[in-house]
Amino acid sequence: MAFIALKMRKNIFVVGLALTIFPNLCCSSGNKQVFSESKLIMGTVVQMTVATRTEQEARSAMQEAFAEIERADGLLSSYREGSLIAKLNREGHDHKVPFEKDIFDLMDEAATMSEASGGAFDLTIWPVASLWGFDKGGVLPDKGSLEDAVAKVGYRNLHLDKKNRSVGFHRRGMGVDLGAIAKGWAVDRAMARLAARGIDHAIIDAGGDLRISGSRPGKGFWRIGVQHPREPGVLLLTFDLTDTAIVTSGDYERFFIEGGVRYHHILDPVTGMPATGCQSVTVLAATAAEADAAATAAFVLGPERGISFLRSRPGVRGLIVDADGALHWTDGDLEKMARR
Amino acid sequence: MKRLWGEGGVRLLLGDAAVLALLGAAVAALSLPRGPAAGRPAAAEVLSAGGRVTALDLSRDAVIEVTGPLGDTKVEVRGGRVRVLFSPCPRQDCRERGWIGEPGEMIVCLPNEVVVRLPGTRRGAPDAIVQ
Repeated sequence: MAFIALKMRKNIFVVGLALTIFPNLCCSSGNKQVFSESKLIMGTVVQMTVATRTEQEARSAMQEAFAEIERADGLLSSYREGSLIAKLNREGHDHKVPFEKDIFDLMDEAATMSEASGGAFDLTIWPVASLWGFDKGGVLPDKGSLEDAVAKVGYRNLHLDKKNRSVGFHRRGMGVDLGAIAKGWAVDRAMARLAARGIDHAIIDAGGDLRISGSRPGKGFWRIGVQHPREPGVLLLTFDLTDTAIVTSGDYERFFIEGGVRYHHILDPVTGMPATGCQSVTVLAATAAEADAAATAAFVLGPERGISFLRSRPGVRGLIVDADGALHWTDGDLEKMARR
Repeated sequence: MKRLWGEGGVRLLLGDAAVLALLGAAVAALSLPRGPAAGRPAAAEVLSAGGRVTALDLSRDAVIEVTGPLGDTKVEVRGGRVRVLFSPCPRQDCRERGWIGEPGEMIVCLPNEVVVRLPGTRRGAPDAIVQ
């Protein structure tokens, strides 16, 4: 009996020693710590959260990933005079503007999404978007100016020259605004940078455009909250997610009120006015670029057509909060995943 | 040695129990969140135009001015909390947000490009919010 008791003590000692020396054996996620950083880029707060073994590893990788988003901002903003898109908007009718491969591919993806959504998402909405000026707080345009601007919108008049990787316009006054896809695209690029550095547990959040890899150490998932569209600071629901992108577009993000009417920044390319059928759309997809553009398209299409559109895209899921606050889901499984 | 539990083949003695307790404590300690995500923030980060980051010691009451494209935003620290005291932005959402003091809380003023952020994650709070 004394022998058994002694053996047990010995076993406990050995296990204890092993746990002290090799803590990774006890916690599946190892001894990774979570670090986060924020920066103001692309007109929003970009937050990165990464799990790494050392702070130095985290800071160095995040610096690289932030640089990728800054590059995207410098190239893709329609509002920056020196950007590639601003150059296209100035010169695209006179001659085709050459693009780098990754940016050309983004333009191609945006044009494809424009076609797939029947123009609910339209990358050539710049004439209308610039008139509303939501970047400076927003102003209600007069009817005549709005009609003129709407007439200049139309992705079919965009010329993507795949052979020469250049872009031009068939009509004068046209312009590209990648605001509904660029943040998601930048987030995807930044996440690829982190992955290249061996970081496989991270969140990159660019003002509601999220890309998630792996999980929080010790948990097996990242818990993501979805903002309630009418109650600031209140969550509508949460999802426990790994390895996906999730994006919400809402009418509460950028808006102004004039004459008691709320005018928000998600514009219907057909009317030039803010879309009215939804309060918010949340989309999950493989990439943040797709989720970003699909959320805008579904918002413009409204709850019924928006859900049909999301269902038509492989690997895309989502929920829509309609103008009355009712929830519409692409599928029951997603609804079951939501924690309220 | 005092026997605490067990009949027959296996007995748990006082020494074993102590080792087990230590093991339990070690496992619990390893499971706790570590690094910057844990605990109450000692400093706030103020992000401003041009990617500048200023650390603000929350143990010292102070008012600082942060320059943005619209002018100067005044950020006040008092009693371990922080708020926007004055902002030149049109909608004043940042000023109306009031005091923040919990890990993960944030005040955002996009028009004047000023963000006040408390590092870390609040217990039970989601890791991120899509909004």
